[in-house]
Formats: sequence, C-alpha cells, structure tokens
Amino acid sequence: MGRGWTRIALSMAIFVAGCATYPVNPSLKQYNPAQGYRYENLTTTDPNKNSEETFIILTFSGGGTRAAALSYGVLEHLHKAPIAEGRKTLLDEVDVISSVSGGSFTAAYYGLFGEEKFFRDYKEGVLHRRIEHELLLRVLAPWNWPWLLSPYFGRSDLADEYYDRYIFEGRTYAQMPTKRPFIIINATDMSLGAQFSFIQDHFDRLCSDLSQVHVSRAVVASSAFPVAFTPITLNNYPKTTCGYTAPRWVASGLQDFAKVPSRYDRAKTWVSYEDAERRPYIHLNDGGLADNIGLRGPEVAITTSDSSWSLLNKVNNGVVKRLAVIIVDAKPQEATTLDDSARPPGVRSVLEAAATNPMENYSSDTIELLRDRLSEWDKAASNFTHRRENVTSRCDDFAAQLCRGSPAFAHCGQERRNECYTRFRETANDQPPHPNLYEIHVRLEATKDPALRAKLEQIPTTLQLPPEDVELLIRAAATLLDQSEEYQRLRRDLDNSSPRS
Amino acid sequence: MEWVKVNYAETRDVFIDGQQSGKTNKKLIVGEGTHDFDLGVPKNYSPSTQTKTVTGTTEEFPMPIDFEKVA
Repeated sequence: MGRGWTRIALSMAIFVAGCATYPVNPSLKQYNPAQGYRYENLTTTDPNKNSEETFIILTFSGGGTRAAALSYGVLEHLHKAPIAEGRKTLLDEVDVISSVSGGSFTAAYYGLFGEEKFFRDYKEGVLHRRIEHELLLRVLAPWNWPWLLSPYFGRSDLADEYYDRYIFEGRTYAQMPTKRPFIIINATDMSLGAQFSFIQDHFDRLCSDLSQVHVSRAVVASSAFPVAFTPITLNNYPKTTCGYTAPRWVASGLQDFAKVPSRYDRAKTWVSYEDAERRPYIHLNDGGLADNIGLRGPEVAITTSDSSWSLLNKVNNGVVKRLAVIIVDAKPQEATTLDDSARPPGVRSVLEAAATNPMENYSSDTIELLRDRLSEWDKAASNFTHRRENVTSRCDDFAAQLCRGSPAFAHCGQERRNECYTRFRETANDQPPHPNLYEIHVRLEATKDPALRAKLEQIPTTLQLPPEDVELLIRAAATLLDQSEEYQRLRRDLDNSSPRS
Repeated sequence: MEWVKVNYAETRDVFIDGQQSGKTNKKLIVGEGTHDFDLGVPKNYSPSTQTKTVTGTTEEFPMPIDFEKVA
C-alpha cells in the first residue's frame, strides 16, 4: 500500500514537473511606437511639478537590500528637499530612474505605486522583509520540488511568484503609471553580456508586449545573480508577426565598425534579436553583470541620439536647461579575506569573484566616461564664450599686423578689421547648446567618519538586513547627498531659478 | 561628442537618423559615427538625405551639412 502511494506521488511529481513552465511573455500584435511603456509616451499630469527643463536622472546600483535601502534613502531625502519656493520637491523633478539588481526593488516599487504608498509601505513591506529567508523556505518546501525539477521552471521563477504576490501585488506593466519618472529596470542578456531593459523599445525587438508582463518579472531578472538564481527566459517571436522595423540609427551604427566600435557593438547587439529562428529564446540574468550602477543606458541617452529617449536631442532643441545625474552606488568594501590564505579559493569564491569584480571595475570606467563627456560639453561652452569676448581684440591685433607700414594705415586697418569681424564674429546661432550639468555620486566610500564608513561597507550583499542596518543606510544616503558640493550647487541653482524651474 | 551645423535657407527641423534632433543653421551635438541627415517634410530640398560620418569635429569647427532649397 505504502509503495503504491509512493508511486502515485512520484508519478504526480513527474507530471507536475513536465507541466511546470515559466510565465511566457506574450507576443505583440502590432508594433506601434505610440503605444507601450516608453519615455515619449509618458505624460506629466502637472507640468509645473515635473518639467524637462530640469532633467534629473537617478541610477540605482546592485547590492541586495543594501542597495535597495540606500536608494530609498536618496528618494526620501529628495522628497524632503523643497524647490520653487516650496511648491514642489526635487523628487517631483526626477525624470528617469535606471536600476539594476537590488536597486530595482526600490525603482520598481516607487515607479509602480507612487510617492504616497512608497513612503508608507516600502520600508516595512520590502526593506524589513526577510526575503532571502522566505525564498529559501520555498525552495526547501517539498511541495515546490516537482516544479523545481522541471527544466523550464527555476528558482528565479519561484522568486518571481513570491515578489509578484507579496511585493508587487500582481501588477503588470499596463498598470505602471503613464507619467514620469520613466523606470528602466535593467537585466543582462546572458549570451551577449549586453544590457536588456524592461521597456517596450527593447521588447519590440522580440515582438513581445511588455504591458502584459508582471513588474515582478523585471525585478527578478534584474536581480538574478548567477548560480544563486536561475536565468529568466523570454520568448523571441518572429518579426513578421508584429511588423517591427529597427530604428534608423541601427543601420548607421553597423557602418561604424572601424571608426566607433562601441556604437557598432550596440547596433550588432540590437540586430541579433531580429533573427528569432537563430535566437528563439533570450536568457536574462542580473543586470549588474552588464553594468552594476545602471548608468550605461543613461550615458548613451546623454551622449548620442541612438537612444529612444535621447537627451542630446532635447538639449539640441533647447528643452533641457539643467541636467543632473545622481548615481547611487552601494558598492561594498573590497573583500580581501581571500588573500589571507595560501590555499586556492573554492568554487563558490571563484564564481563570486568572477561575477562581481569585473562589474565593479566596469562601473568606474562608466562614471569616468560620463564625466569626460560632460566636461567636453562644459569646455565647448567656455571656449565659445572666450572666443566671443575676445573677437574684438583679436581682430584689432590681426588688422594692425596686416596693415603695419601701409601708407593708408587707418583705411587698411578698418577694412581688415571688418573682414575679420565678418569671418569670426559669432552670432546667437553659433552658441553651442549647453545645459548646466551636475554629476552627483552617492557612494558609501565617501562617508567621512571612518568608523561609520567601515560599518556601512561591511553590510553584506543579501536580501535581508537587520532593521538597524537599513536605518543606517537610509541616514547615510541623506548625509552623503548633503555633503556633495554638486548636490548643493543643484539646490542653489534651482532656488535661484524659481519659480520658473 | 561631435558637432554639426546643418545649413539651409530657412529655419527647419533637422532629423538625424529619423529623429527630430534640432534646427537648421544652429550648432548641434551628435554622437560620433555615421548618421543620416534630412529636413523632414515638405521635401522641398536637395539632396533628400545625406549620410555623413561625423568624427574629429569641434564646437569651433562643426561639420557643415548643406541642403539647397528646391521648388
């Protein structure tokens, strides 16, 4: 009798395992740039609250609950920063949030539920929740084993069910508010090591409809740290099914193999999704593998017109007058314990080092790249001002040199001076577009008190932290923002520009 | 970061790779690389589109891109 029941249970387990599959991302009926979750389709309910004139981008790094709490602290502090004579706050002016991994919990929750619920429920409902413990219980629960035995259902799918039910309340992208900030949850395309974002522009490439995808799916993909979590699978549908055509920059970019390899690579990545026969499924894991601070997408939008939400176009059109990028970086202290022993590190340590160290090196490069680009912008503007202010004296010198010794010195000098003015005088049309730029880097390493810094940097990367650590991180975010000279400059400039900002 | 100035007899929208990216006769910032330039509709200009590889420019010496008005 006992063996009979065992057989029945085993058969049922095998049956369930055979049926269990990941939630399939639906296909898109018709490609339509005027629909779907894209920056350009978002409206602002009150333009006085969030103008593009002041454009604020936040990027949230990975780092488990440490990153989620630090980014929460930044949002809370911006919420307490009044501008425009107290009629709005800096948080009202945030236009884009780009996040990876742990930071994606905060970005998605804030974007989905809005200010009121976020500040009421997020701390208790997410930051204080023992997510890791609860996920482990689900993995260990025997009734989940048949599902986990399925090759089409992994630990990440189990985590997705949990996040969907207990954090994101079953909401899909169709329920994401159609107003700014634009929330960009980033994952990594495992085959290419390229960033894959949960925005309709990226889902168009799969002929898939993001509006029917659960927000929890984006967060679980963004935080699917290798080995601990399984990759998330997306179906890639043939392009004939939705009539999709790639944006024109892609064809241009494919010509830049020799001149601009980074652009060529972006274009090549983009077209790789077009062949659904060759790549019928896309596997995603932690967004931090491609970019652990969520800055690569914004960097492309700021410095090129290749992004669907290109800021360069907005700057050229004179729409953006102030551009602030606030990078929230929960990078921990370097783990040097491996170097304490002559014994070669074990498999787990090697995997962890391979997955995290390149991410951190890449982060510094990304920040420096952005900084270089922004300084080029400043330099161009100051060169222009310098030239315009000096054109009179330069043309006087030029005329004096050319006409030296001429019998009709005065006449010659006047003629040459006029020629010079005509050639070199710069008009309003020559003025280069130039918004005021602010780069604000919130990072634990910048904590001034050495004891507090050590304490913050030793907070582990995990999906559950003691409430006192969460509070410490939230307070640290406020202090780090306040001590940033760039942040203070932004606030001063906005105070001076009110009430128009 | 590269610079172009799209010259035309009137002020019109400039489209770079199909996206409205600024106005004619003003300095515009573009990303380094190959781009298609046009002035959108009405198509009363020539050539109808220009493909240029923009590199090595400065704010002081932007790449000139000229369009002629046609009837």
